[in-house]
Amino acid sequence: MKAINILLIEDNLGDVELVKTAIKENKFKNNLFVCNDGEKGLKFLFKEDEYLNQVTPDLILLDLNLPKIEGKDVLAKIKGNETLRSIPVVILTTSSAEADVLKSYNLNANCYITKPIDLNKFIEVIKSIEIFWLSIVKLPTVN
Amino acid sequence: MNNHSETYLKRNRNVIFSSLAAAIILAGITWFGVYQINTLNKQTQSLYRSPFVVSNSSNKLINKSEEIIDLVSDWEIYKTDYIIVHLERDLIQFEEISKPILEQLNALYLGDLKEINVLISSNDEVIQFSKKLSKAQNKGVFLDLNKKDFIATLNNYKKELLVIENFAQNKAAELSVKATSIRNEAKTQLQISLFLGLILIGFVAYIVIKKNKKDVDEIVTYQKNLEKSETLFRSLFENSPIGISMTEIGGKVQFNNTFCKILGYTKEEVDRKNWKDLTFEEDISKSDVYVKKMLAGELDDAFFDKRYYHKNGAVIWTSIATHLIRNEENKPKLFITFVSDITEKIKAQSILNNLNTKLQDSNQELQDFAYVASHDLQEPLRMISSFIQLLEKKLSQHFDEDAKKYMHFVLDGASRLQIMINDLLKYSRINTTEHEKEKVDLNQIMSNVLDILDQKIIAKKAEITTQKLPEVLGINSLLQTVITNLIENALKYNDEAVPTIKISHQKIDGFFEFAFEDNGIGIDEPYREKIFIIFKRLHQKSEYSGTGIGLSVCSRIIKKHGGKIWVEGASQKGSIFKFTLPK
Repeated sequence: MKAINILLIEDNLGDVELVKTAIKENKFKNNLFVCNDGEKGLKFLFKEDEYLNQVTPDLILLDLNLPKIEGKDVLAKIKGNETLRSIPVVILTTSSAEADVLKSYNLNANCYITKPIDLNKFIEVIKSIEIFWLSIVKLPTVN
Repeated sequence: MNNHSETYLKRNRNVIFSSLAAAIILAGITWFGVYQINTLNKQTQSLYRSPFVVSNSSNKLINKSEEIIDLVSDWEIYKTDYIIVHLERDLIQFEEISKPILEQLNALYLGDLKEINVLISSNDEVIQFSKKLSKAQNKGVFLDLNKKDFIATLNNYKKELLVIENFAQNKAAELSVKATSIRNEAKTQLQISLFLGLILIGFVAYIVIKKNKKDVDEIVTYQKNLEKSETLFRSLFENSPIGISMTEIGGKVQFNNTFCKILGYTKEEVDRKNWKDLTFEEDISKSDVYVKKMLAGELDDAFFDKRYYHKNGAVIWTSIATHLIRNEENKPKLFITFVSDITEKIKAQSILNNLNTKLQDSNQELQDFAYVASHDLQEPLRMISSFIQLLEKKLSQHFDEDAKKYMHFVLDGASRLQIMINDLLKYSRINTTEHEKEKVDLNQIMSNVLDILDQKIIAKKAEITTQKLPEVLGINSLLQTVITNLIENALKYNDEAVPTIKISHQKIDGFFEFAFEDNGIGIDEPYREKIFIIFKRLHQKSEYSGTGIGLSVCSRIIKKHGGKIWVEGASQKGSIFKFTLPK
């Protein structure tokens, strides 16, 4: 099975660590790429500068509260681009405020997940995201 | 005033006219009376005179007849003597006498006395005698006349004249009486006329005087009333607790005492000032706009706030109510303006507004703070709990019992902090929730809540009874939170074998009052208010779990709906939680 490429745009190194832990427990072969702010995330996606030879990810995990360029703006850029639009984006955030939820959905986020406080639940959530987006939902192929 | 003086003039003119009319009537009556008397006098005089004339004339004729008779007697004597003695002298005497006889005879039937002779039948015979006599004389013939016939005729003539004279005299006497009576009557009539005239004049004069007096009285009363009204108006104007100004169009401006007092000037000082000097510069144009609109007929009244300068330089805020009075031709006449000093009110309002703004700001800040704090606190908390869990998961085989206990406390603390943060977030969100109020069926909510709490109710073996509840205007999700919290509390703080919760409601004024009565542990009087404060707990965590936010959330939600919430002690044991919602 071909390894899937996951891009995590997250500034909190703790969360990066937790996502890594969760993904390790997965049966899927995967490559996790991490960007610590919105700007780097966009550069990765648009293959600019140091990311010139990077792959296009199959799944994006996006935190809303990001330094430099905010998560919402990153989402808007992704959904405004012909090529990137079809990549599923899962919003990961501690915020469960309705305002954030609404704004995210208005920008066509594919899924919205509040980061659970319990470690086991968090691992479950990450697993279920992968299973849901990579096996159940048939996705258009991205070159 | 104008109208009144015109009426007065009109009335006076009436008086003059009626006096003139009375005078004319009186003059007429007098003239008529005098004229009547004159006419009567003339008539009676002429009537009176003619019998006398007749009588006099008859008398004269009688005398003449007697003279003729005497002459004829003499004439007879001379005739007899001549016949007997033929004395020439006798003849001459005879002829001498013939002349006067003839003259006298002529005088009898000729001249002025003809009209009487017409009345006398023997006149013709007298005329015959006269003619015979004159014929004989002309022929120079001695006339042989029968003396006896002649005298008899003359005597007849005389007798008739006497009858006429008597008749005339009687008539004259009669007429004299009649004339006197007519004259008397006329006199009486004149007296009556004059008397009536005088009465009429007196009456007219009485009416005129009375009317005039009435008019004068009216004028006096009117003037008194006018003075009273003027005094009252002055007193109202000057002593009104509101400042008043009256501005005649193109004329003078009057201010009352109160207006002057508001601005701290005396009347004389204000009179010397131009109103623009008194007005706060920025408000001059404001007044002008209204004045122009009113003069143009776009507005009848204007109400606005305006600033003046006090004599001491301070700015005075006033509330203006002004009205333009128009004259009969609908032309602007004068502005009447009421000025109330609202400086204190404005000051108080400004303080209040400032406080309100501050309060709103601080409320918003508090809201933001609660939201941000609770939101941002989640992140590090999640790190703590996640990595403690990860630590436990990966390294627990290396931990001894103490380390495991410590790990437990760290996790328990983190989890409680998480719940509190979430509660705080919920609490702060109550006021930021901007749901429209809608009709809410509380029976439906109750049924939902009982479903949700089903497990707890069964576990506690609780009995919950509820009345049919009304529909209210509110936010469904928030009201569900209130009912959930109240029932959860009633279950939680209850150690009875069979906890009971009775839910009822009643209408009070414009509100529904709901009561949740339980047989739980109850709340002592001093703590009944404290329990609605956020994170206030009456019990140790080990006794009853919870963060102590439930009731403060209820309180906030009920307040947001315009009601209030409180707790009373139940009659036996337990508590009655009560809250109100507007109908």
